[in-house]
Amino acid sequence: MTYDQLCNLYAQSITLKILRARSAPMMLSFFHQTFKEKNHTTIPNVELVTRLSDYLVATGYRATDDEIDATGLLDNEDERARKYVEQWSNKGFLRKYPDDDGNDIHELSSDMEKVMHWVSTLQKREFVGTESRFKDIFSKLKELVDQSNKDPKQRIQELERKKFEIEQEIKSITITGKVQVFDDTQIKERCYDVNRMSRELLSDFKEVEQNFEQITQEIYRKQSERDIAKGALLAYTLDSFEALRQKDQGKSFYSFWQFLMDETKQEEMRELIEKLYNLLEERNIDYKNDRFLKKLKQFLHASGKKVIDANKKLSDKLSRVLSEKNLTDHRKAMELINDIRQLAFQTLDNVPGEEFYIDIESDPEIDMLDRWEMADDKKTHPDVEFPEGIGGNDFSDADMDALFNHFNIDRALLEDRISTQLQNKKQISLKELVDIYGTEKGLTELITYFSIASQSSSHIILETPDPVSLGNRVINMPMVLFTNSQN
Amino acid sequence: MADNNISPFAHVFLKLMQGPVYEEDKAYWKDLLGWQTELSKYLNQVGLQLIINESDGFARILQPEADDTSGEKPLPRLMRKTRLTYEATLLCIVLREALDEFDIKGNGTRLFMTQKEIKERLALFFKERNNKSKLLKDLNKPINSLLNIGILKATREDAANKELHQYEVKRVIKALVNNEKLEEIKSKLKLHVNPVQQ
Repeated sequence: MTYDQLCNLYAQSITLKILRARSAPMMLSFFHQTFKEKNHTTIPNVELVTRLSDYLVATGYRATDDEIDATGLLDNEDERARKYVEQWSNKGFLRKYPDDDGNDIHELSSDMEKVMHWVSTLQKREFVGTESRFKDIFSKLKELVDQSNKDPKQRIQELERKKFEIEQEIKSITITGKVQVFDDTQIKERCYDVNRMSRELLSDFKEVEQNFEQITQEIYRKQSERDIAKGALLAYTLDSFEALRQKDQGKSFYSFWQFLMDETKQEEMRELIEKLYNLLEERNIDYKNDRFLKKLKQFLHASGKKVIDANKKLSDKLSRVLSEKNLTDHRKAMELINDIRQLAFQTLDNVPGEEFYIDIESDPEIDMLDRWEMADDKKTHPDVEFPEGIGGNDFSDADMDALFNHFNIDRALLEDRISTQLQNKKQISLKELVDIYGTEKGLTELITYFSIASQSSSHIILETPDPVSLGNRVINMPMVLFTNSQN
Repeated sequence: MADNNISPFAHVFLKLMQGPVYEEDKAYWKDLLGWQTELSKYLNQVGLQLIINESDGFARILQPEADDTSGEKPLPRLMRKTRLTYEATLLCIVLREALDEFDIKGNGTRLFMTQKEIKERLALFFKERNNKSKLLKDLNKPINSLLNIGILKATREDAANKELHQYEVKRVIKALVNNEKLEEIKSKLKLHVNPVQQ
């Protein structure tokens, strides 16, 4: 702990940053209330914001810290709560990630867990139980020495001694009819210890999980380095994989998990905890209605599962990394994307228009009626529609001739007209063309305009209706825009 | 109406015909892996291929391009081809890059982005017009076209603030916009930037 080291720690450590935050008392009390008291591991973002907003109102907390934007002083509590939660997530006080449905959820970061635990030790405890903990240390010491002694003779000697002690105890109970039991204080003290240790265990899970994730990240970062040799990456990957299983943390975690998953052990633990609560009730020992231990198994399982998941993610990634094809593909893709990015920037002033397109092969085209869902927003096709009042119902021959009886359409003439109009304009619509030149050849002429538009990529057919007059009729048709590809 | 002739992988086949199957569809995914040999055989009979990408966690049907030299009548196209505009193509690039970045960071397996985040990345490629809000509105179009072909999937609606609409970037983008496609995009764009050289 040199001066330099501590300077560095104060600048870097998130734990210390939490402690120094001006909003710390508000933040810690809020987290204690929302996460700890209710034993929640994760809380959806929306819920957390609402709760904080309520909390800010209830406590009348004024945002005098500089953690959220000062301009937000006029904001309402909801807005302020949202900003706080965002800040805390950004600073690593809270973790934020999407669940499987894409909804953001929060949990306390391992640094936050550490701070909350440490702060809780500062509080004056009801009593400081030393007896149970000393006995705990004593029995651990014994266990440590006994279980690591490889000499069979000494081991047998030790077991014999234990056997003798047990026999003595049985004898004294049968003679006196009395069993030595813990008094209330001893029970209370042990209960307190069990509770404390269980909570610590839960917080520790978070750190295990984070360590697993860190290794994953490191592998991925290494993988994306351009010049790393494949062999080196492979070696590194295998090493980390091995390290994960062989490192004390990994080993310990896996044997714990095995223990937790063992059905008989689960049953045994459930019974033990049940008995403990009964005992507390019987002896009238106040446990402040803390049901934490009752749900311990559930909490352990939930938190352990997260570690297992983190680890599964890791092995998934490893298998990806190990595939050489993926590796080279990935680098190639990154190069190409970079090139495309450069080109796209070069063309900022001259963004490609309609002539640029890429075909993508997507889903099979099966459009049977029974596959339509009510909610599907079916595309309306640019059909020619005849709404009421437009088009008329006059089907007499003479009138129809005006529409159809024109077979010799001079396509070149129409194209000429378009380019003439486009000489001093960027675009012209079909309606404008008809306004200028009329429609000598009726519907066929309109259709020819259509066909010109559809055959060149510089012309656009929009779905917006743009009625065109044809003789004394108005025809409702899609908007056609002829554009000048040079402009 | 029970028909005993229905093959045990029918449900997976039908699901595949509706679009890519993802690892998240746990029931289908497991059966898909289990029946992959049979499914492949079945699809091959009608000129389709089953592509399973286990590491990215999706599977899809592919219809190989018709081979003109074989002299046989080409099969009709089953797979829909969708035309992407320049804007939509750029969005593909942006999303593909985002997915790769996301994988390197390694938090979770599914990438979610809000409309705002997507637009911020995409807007870089267009000159800031005087009317920025019009530009942002125009960028809805490419987002919609990628929603249509299943590269994006809406996962959260935010009625109060459309910018907070959230989408998932589906991993199938790696297959739809693979390196071959990227090459094609690059050369097409190169031609646009510098038409004289070619």
